[in-house]
Amino acid sequence: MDITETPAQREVRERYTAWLDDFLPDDYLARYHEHRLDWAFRRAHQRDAFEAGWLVPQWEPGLGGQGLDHLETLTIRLESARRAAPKLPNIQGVGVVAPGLREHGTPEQIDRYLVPLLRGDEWWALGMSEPGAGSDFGSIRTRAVRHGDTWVVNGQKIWTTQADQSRYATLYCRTDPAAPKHRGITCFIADLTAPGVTIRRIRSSEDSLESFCEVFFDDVELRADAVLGAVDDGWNVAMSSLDHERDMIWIMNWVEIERGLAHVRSSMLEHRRDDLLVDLGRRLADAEAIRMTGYRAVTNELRGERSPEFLILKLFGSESLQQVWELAIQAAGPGAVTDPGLLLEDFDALAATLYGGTSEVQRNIIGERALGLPKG
Amino acid sequence: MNFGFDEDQEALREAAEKLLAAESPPAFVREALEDPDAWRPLWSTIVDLGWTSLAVPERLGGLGLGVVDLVALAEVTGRWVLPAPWMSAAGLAGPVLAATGAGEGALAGIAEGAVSTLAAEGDVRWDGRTLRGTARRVPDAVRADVLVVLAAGPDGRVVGVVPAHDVRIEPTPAADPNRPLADVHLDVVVPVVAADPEPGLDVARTVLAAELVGVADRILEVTVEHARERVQFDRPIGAFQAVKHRLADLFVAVERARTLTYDAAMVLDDPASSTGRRREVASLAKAAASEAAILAAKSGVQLHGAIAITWEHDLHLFARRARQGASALGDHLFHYRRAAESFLGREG
Ligand SMILES: Cc1cc2nc3c(=O)[nH]c(=O)nc-3n(C[C@H](O)[C@H](O)[C@H](O)COP(=O)(O)OP(=O)(O)OC[C@H]3O[C@@H](n4cnc5c(N)ncnc54)[C@H](O)[C@@H]3O)c2cc1C
Repeated sequence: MDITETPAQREVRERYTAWLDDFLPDDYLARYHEHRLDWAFRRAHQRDAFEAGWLVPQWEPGLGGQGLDHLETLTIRLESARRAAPKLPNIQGVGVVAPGLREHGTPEQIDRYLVPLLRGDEWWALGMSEPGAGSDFGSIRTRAVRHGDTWVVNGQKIWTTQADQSRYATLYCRTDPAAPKHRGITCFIADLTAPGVTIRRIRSSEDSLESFCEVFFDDVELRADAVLGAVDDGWNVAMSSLDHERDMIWIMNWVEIERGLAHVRSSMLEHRRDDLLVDLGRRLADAEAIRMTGYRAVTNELRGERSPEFLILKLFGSESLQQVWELAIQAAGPGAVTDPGLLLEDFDALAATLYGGTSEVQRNIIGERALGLPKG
Repeated sequence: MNFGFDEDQEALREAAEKLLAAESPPAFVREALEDPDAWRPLWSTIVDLGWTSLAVPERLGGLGLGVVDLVALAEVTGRWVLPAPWMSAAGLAGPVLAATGAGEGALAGIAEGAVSTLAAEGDVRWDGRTLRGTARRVPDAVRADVLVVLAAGPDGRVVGVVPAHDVRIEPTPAADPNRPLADVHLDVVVPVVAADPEPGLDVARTVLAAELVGVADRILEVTVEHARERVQFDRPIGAFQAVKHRLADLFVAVERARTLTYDAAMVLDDPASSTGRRREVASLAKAAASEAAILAAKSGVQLHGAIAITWEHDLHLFARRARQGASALGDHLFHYRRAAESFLGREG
């Protein structure tokens, strides 16, 4: 065991921070809240990160990376989080769709879609949830029926983040209604500008940073080469997609936890609140434990060992995030309810324990996969 | 950055796991609760194996290893609630001696198997000549040859090494009779060194945290096993979400504590770590491990049902150590607060 950075870790981290310092304006942190809403700025950051090989550091040059290993990659992702680097404007594209495309896509699909996605030129949405199928993804009812060389899709998706801004979606449809629930699902690459697609924005209870949509499919035609993975194998595509999503989310959570802790710190330096010290200590422990559990998991991965502790990160990160902002509100005192910035953070934190699989679903996963408990 | 134990550490853990499974199974631990001398043969064995010399410097006859090594072993001793005074000697007294330079002879003695312990709490004072007052809740004092005593002097804190036959030892009740507690009354003329004991205490806290992680880990393991096997309402109780989710939360608590304990051990072993960082990680580890152990004990009993509150069941063996360890050298409230003060730049 060794807490010190390896020379390679330090070298890539220093190269990365030099690049980031160069990209970010000097007043970046001071004006974080404005930059956060500046989509052009965030797009430019993604494009530059792609060119410089910092977007997906473990991938090869040309695909937004520079062939870093697991440990170096995690170092860069956490450094980016620690510095509150601009959030990728279409983060599920890079974090979830891209690895899925590489894993399941044909060479033609990868060739056509991957680079525009990574550059941020074409955005992607995740078409999984439906009104009748949230946690219970296996019960989706959107149908795709094959007619010769085309598939015809009818049905509805919901909670589709950024569907209104996206060119494509990974669209999960039932293709074999006779098969058991988990079997007859296929994943498609759907062009959201195709005839028969209707997108409606859902108004969320607070102004949120990302749009939230319903997507309707009426006799939408997809070509046979739109299938991602094998026909009727969409369950496996979805499960690996959810793994990537969990991996993306815990680091997103950690960024917000660190920001939340900084917020708490400045409130508590302004007004002494000794009644909150124990709680603050707990949240400091969370932040340290989340980051270091990520490193523990990577160490195990590099040694080729099973890494069950990795499974805790989505649950732990999202629950802790919520508690950190709760603490920020307590530290701010009763005036918190008049602070729109803080209210928005609080609202955003509520969603973290829902998207990417709710906390209850995560506890099922931990119980069954990490602990080997029987299914209910 | 590397979170893995090295080959020697893995070998030590495996050997310890094997030895304790054979020599310190729950039935033995239970017997030891009522037989104050049951630990003695086991103590000779572990001294011979070098467990007490791990972190003693080589020039004093030890192996010269670090906090990570102590943590690697302490986790296993926690899993088997070792009834011998290894923690008191190698985990608590040793690190304070090593960090303060209070007594090289005593440190060499630990390597050789002298039972030593740490008297860290109470109101012992040093007036320039005499250590006087009462140290409270000293673990294994009744078994000790030597006590490492922390005291308040006129110009700051001091550390003294006191032979057990020079003090009056008054046994007290203890949550875990396998780590018996005593109040120690001192009125003794000894040389002391002036030193801040906190850096050594932070090592001791981290080693204690590792033991608590081991205790929690073992409780989780046996409780999961029980939840897979015990059938009620025609299914294993582990299939009920109320049970499954409680165990999932316990798993999170245990892994959180384990990560923080390894993290602290590495930071303490790194000569480049700052004082503030050492203090913070040791506190986070001790706080998280104390909480995890108590949560494990409570969940463990709850999910086993009535059987778990019997003398014959193993759970109380673990729960006793969890309770006692959680409050030793600062409980989770103390340490969360200490870490928070440090984060806010108050070194209070
Ligand atoms: C901000 C945000 C963005 C999202 N973006 C997308 C997106 O881009 N694409 C997409 O497809 N979806 C997206 N979702 C949807 C998200 O995946 C679902 O909200 C989630 O899977 C839960 O489904 P649900 O909301 O229908 O709740 P339900 O599944 O109805 O759950 C309601 C409650 O019941 C509990 N529950 C359900 N099943 C169980 C069970 N087996 N055991 C115990 N408790 C259970 C849940 O934990 C929850 O507390 C997004 C959601 C949010 C909040």
